[in-house]
Amino acid sequence: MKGEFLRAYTKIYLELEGLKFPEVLIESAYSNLANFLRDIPVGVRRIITRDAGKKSAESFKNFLRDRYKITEIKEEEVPAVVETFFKISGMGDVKCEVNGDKIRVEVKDSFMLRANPDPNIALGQFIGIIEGFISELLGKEVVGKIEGNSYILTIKSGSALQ
Amino acid sequence: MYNFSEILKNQRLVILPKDLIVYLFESAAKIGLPPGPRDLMAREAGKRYAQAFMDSVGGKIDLGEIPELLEKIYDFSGMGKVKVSLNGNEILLEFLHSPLFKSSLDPQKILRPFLGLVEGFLSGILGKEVKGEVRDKSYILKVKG
Repeated sequence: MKGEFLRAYTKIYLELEGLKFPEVLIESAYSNLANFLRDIPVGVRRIITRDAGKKSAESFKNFLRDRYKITEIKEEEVPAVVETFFKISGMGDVKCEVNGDKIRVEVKDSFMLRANPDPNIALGQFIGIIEGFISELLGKEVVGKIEGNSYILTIKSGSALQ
Repeated sequence: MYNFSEILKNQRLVILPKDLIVYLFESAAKIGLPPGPRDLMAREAGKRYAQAFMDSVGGKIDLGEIPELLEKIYDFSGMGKVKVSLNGNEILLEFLHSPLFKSSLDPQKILRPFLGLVEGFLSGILGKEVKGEVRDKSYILKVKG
């Protein structure tokens, strides 16, 4: 039941705290960025994006706590948040599943996929954001990789964030 | 006269959390990504958007209409309240407030990465090269030719 509420709260959060950009602008900027950054080491890209993902989740968690008294998000509730975030933000259509310590986010449709024929490049710019966001959401370190059109995120055991 | 608000409302949008945008650009600035390629990418994206915008307008936009257009775009996107004025071929875009100023960087540094977008967008809209600079909390944009 909380999952359904989380979908609604995520939608409200984006409506209240989101900046609206024309899709054509974001698609063009993302595509240029994907092709420019492919020569920059993955580690450097992750430093930039992981932190931003964490800060964004921190702000989302504050919103849930202050407005709806929700103080914890469990692993099984991550799909409701992630799927709604992608859908409402206009980032695309994803299917998110949790299986043990693995979270799979399959990108079914997104302008990101149009950035480059190689999914590693097309989806690679966003991996740090999604890692950082889910890490902060769960309060546990999460690391990811790309397999086909999916992000495969592993929750590291005993890795509670400070 | 165009109804810019209506045109903006009818666009396909991507909605991203303010904090994500602020920290993404802040981290990128701190790590020192080279400004040349960044500006080039931003200008191209701005021009691409201008092209799509002009397609939906279906006509020409004059320099005199730019202040209203820019003020409406910033307001609509949530990027801030801006006051735009013209002085001959110069466009002064002054930020009254913006979520970007939540950044720990000074206003000039956090506004800088977005300058290329505005330059590209205005170049595409006016069909003339537009080049700008950041001064405090403002963009000073010069329309060439």
